[in-house]
Amino acid sequence: MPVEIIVAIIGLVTAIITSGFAVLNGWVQKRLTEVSKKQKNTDILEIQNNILEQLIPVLEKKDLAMDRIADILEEQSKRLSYIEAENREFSSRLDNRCEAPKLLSEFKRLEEDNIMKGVREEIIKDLENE
Amino acid sequence: MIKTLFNIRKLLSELENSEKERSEQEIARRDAIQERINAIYNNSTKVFSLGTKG
Repeated sequence: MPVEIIVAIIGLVTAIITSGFAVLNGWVQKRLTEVSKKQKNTDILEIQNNILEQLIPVLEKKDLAMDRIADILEEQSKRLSYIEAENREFSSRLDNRCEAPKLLSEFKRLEEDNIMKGVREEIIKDLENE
Repeated sequence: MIKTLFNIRKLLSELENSEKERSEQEIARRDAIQERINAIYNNSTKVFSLGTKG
């Protein structure tokens, strides 16, 4: 076999192996890039989760305080409604009581009117008789 | 050399699997956190609704 052919075969094999490695290298690079991208996203998510996990207990404590505030507000609201109802009732009673003297004076006035009417009639009668 | 290639392939697979697992764990963690935040938010709106009732 001539030396040129052997050299050519060796060159061909070398070229095939080199291109095979190039393809393989490209494939590995591609997968590594994908993994690296995913790793970066997961890292960001992990940092976000870590920050939120630090904050959430504080928010939950605040939430408990909010619960207590809600209870207090609800209790106050109930009390205010009750006081408001009581006030209305008291006010109505007071109004009724205040009306009583007015009514009495009105009755008295009517009574006096009737008396005066009677007196006037008697005077007229007396005058007629004279 | 072929052994090295197989090793690279194996390492890549392991890396991908571990990364996938880590990503799933973080997503589960995020969902749990989201639920806690939603619970806090819902409870807060209860208080605010009380404030706007009157």
